[in-house]
Amino acid sequence: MAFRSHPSHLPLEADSSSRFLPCIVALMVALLTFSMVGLGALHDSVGQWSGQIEGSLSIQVPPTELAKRSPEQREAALQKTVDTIIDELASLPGIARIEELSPETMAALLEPWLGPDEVVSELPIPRIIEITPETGFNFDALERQLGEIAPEAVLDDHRIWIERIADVAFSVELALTVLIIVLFGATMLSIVFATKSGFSIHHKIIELLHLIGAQDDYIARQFGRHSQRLAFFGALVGLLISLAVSAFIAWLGLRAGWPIPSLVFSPVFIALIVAIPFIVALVAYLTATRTVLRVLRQML
Amino acid sequence: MTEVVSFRNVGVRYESGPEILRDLNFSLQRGSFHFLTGASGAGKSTLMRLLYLALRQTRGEINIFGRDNIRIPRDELPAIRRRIGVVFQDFRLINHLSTFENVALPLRVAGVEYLQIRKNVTELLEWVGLGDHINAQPSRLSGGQQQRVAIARAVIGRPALLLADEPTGNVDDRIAMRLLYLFEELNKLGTTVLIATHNRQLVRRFGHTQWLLEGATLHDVTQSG
Repeated sequence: MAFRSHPSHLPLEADSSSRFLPCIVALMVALLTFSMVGLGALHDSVGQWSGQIEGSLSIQVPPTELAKRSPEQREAALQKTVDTIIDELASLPGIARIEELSPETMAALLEPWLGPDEVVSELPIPRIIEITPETGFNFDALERQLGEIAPEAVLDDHRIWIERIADVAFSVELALTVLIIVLFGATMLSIVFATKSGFSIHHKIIELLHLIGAQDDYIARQFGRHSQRLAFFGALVGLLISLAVSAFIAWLGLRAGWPIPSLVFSPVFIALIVAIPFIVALVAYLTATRTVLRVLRQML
Repeated sequence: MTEVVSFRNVGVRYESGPEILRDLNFSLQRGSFHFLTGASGAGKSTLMRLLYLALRQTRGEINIFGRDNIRIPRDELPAIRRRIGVVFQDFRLINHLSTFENVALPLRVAGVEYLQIRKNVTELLEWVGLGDHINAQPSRLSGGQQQRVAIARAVIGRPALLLADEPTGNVDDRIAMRLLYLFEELNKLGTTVLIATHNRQLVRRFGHTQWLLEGATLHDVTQSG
């Protein structure tokens, strides 16, 4: 593709139809870019949420078996079970950190529901052990070993939440991907139709050039470059507008405290966004040249 | 003299209709000057379209510059068309281009250098009296001025054959005479000229061959004029 300035043989820019194509292209590219940024942001957010949930799991040690004992005996037995679990599991591969939630932390967490510390200390509250696993940690091995050490302990690995989030995110991502494909197709079709409709205006010029001895390729290239310039300009404007509006919404959301994702996109995603005007320009060039060649082939 | 164009038993019909042109037999010699007259609808424009290769005959044989028009490969047609200058009945000027750009078009499509184009176009526009309207758009020119732009565009490439379809149709007799004198000047430079017009009064003032298209056939009316 040639984007450099050629000495124009046919200053088609002066033609009033030249305003039509960039407007259509700008609108379609803006919608397309919005959807792509939305998809990227959602994908990024889901990744972050999943990472946060996957990055921690907890073991609940209930005091049910010790309910008939005195509070002191109960606490001592519970502490022994908790210590055994921590000692045994700490040696498992893939565990970055394992520690019990302190009674103060537990009391603080339960205070909104159960009131002040004194009440909490008198109740048979389960003990919580927090584990920070490393990547590739074997949950099944942990579950098996925990069952051997303390069958009454319950492992909460948040997998059900991860699965639910993944299901919802996948559905939304799929819907957005379909929307992007449809929008991309619509953008390409609008370029095709806008380019073709422009040629009904240029039909007489094409015929004139043909009759004064212009080669088909020459005529097609003239119109191809013209459409390419218009489409590239329109796509660039559409892209910049959508990015500016996205940035403005993000800024507004941050000020208002909305849960706006960090929008750190991958290099591939950024390259894809940047490539939009070039892809659009290429489609416009090919459409224009093919349309003109088809018109010319109908002439003698 | 060399034959620039020759027609042998040429006929044209559109689809299954009657023949618009029938049994045309004539030739245009190099450097000759012909008028083609006939009433509106007689087939003058159809004959011109045959000559500038926008239409093919339904029967007969046409030779242009020694080539059988049916056998010329499509990719060779542009080179032959560049040897033919055409003044269209409706001028076919491109409205968003200036006078200069309109006249320069045939040179540009032929790949002539810009400096050469500027020199030739400026000279020609001066010659046809439009030196002061180089940057004007066609819509700002009078009918006669537009006509001269169309003529300048037709002759800028120094064509071997110049075809003009009703070039005096939109101008008064004074301007029409000036345009015809302009064609005579071009003819003196060696260009073969064929002018289609319905104005028989006007062409009688010139001593060139006159053909009449009537009843779909061509008649030489030079002597009877």
